[in-house]
Amino acid sequence: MSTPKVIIISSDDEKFPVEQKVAEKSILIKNMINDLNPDGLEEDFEIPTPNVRSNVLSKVLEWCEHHKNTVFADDEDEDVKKSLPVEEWDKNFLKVDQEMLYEIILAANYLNIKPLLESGCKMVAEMIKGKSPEELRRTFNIVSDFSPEEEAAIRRENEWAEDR
Amino acid sequence: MSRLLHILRGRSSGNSLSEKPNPQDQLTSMVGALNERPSQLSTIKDQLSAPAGSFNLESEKADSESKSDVATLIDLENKEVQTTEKKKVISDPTTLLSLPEELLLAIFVHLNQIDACQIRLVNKKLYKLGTIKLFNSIFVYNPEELAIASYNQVSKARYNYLAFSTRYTIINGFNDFVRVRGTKELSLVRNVVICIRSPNDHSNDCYNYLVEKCPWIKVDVASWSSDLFDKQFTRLDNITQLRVCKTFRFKTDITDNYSIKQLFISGSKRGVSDPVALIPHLKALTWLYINDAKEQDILQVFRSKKISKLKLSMLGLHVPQVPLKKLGDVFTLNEIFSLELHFYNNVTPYDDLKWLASQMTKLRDIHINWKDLSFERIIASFAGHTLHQIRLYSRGNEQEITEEQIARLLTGRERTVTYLSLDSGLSSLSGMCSYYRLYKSHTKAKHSVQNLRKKLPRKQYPNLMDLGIYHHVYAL
Repeated sequence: MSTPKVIIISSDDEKFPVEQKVAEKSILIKNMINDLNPDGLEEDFEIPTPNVRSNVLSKVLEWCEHHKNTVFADDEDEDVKKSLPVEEWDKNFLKVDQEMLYEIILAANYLNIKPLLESGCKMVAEMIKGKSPEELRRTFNIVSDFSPEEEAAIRRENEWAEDR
Repeated sequence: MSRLLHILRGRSSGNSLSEKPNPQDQLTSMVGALNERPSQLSTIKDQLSAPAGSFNLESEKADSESKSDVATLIDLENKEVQTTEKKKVISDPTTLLSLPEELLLAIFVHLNQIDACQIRLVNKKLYKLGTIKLFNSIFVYNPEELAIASYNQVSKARYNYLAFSTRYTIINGFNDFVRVRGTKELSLVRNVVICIRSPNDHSNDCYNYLVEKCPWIKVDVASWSSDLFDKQFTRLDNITQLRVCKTFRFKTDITDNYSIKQLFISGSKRGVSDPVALIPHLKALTWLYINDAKEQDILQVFRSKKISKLKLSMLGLHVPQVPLKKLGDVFTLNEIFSLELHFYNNVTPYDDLKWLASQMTKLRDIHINWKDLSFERIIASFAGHTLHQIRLYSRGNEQEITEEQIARLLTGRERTVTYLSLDSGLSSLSGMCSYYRLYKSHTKAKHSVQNLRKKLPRKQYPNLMDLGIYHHVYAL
């Protein structure tokens, strides 16, 4: 008998059979496999992910496949991890449209895949860095709901934080 | 299968558009995202009422606009049936603003305070979240006293994304503190570092105010003054950084401590209490910085305390000099990722450094300040390392730095380098002086950086966010 697979089912009922190692990049799935199969997987195991659509799930699994042998250090200083740039492969992998990027972030959060979530958050942060409020509104398609007076008040509030 | 589905649905709160998390959960996770000790929730909630209120208004408005959709959705949800209509609602485009607040805050931790200010101006929802980011961790200091080792990265510069600048909001001087004192946003503060050399009424007021009004915060005292110095020893279990000055008397027989991650030892005089004796008790220690102009054999001090193979991620030595090949006796070299070496003596042990580099396999950040240092030879010592932050400061004869040289220094690291700072020859011998310059010359440096940026295109150096070239470098 061949090695049992983990079959992940998207919200739109598409089935993605993957190696257990790949699926276990998701801590949610890993814990679920371990909880429900204390003696290890003996046959194919289906897991529904009712929050993740097939196009997003296939992207996330592509990431898991690529990183199946990557060891992510989790003992590192948070501050240090935060200041590291996004790894090159992840950066290219996450060059997708905004909606897909957010969907990947949501899926990584839901499936508990910390390194992917971290990379996704950093990619969005890169889009924010150094932009003016007007540029931010354009980039993220946000309409201001401030009155001119409110905006002026916030600019005054900001003064101490921006003063050299 | 249905059990699985149940488990999976259980985890979905806040992620799916089909569910509306209740405000209390939202607030809890929101504060939790930035802070691991969400006590005083009720206070925060009260304090947040203004921005949160406006946020509610906004969502109510949005609700009324899509009332029919929402009604359908709730109806469908109750019956637990999947129809195409529900799928249609769920497939509304996901936007930045539709991310749950905890995730937006997880994004914002990568930004600095200038960005947080811009975020606050975008719309009401982002005002609230930008405010949480801005006030989570603050660093209160007096710019006149910036000359404190290891705080050389302090700068409100727009493009400064070093770990320090994304972690802390810098409050320049106590004049700025007066401007935030008494504001309701102070209830959002979780971590404070107070950095003062000469305490005065303002600094004492600041410390007392923060400790009394916000008892849940962590206050790290970064001060060599005896007054604040004693205060930090009364809160050892509640601080993450300990600063110890050898000139003061303090007890070294402390109980084992699990909160202090960073230890800074300063002082040129032979002190009455030996700070190295604290180290075996600091079980969570990852950073060690020693600034001591007189200590001729710092490693002997460690050996006398029988400290060996100490595991640290950051080691900084600001001493006359140290036999680099002996560092391995005291420290576990392949654990260190950040190395800072300032030598007062006129030595340039390149060969030993090369050996040290070969042992420090995880090294990512280097900061070296020697007399008449050769940028090229230092960099050659780290030929095999993927460096992120590079700071090379040379004292003594001024050297010329050319664009070609910079490109050469960065060869092979174009895609990893995040920070490059070169100082080509300060006439002053004091390391402190160089930090001061760094701060003072910032505006000027920014100008030349903008010019230089053109020569170091983003395409080729995608992660290079900070660049400082000091002393006259170019005619660009």
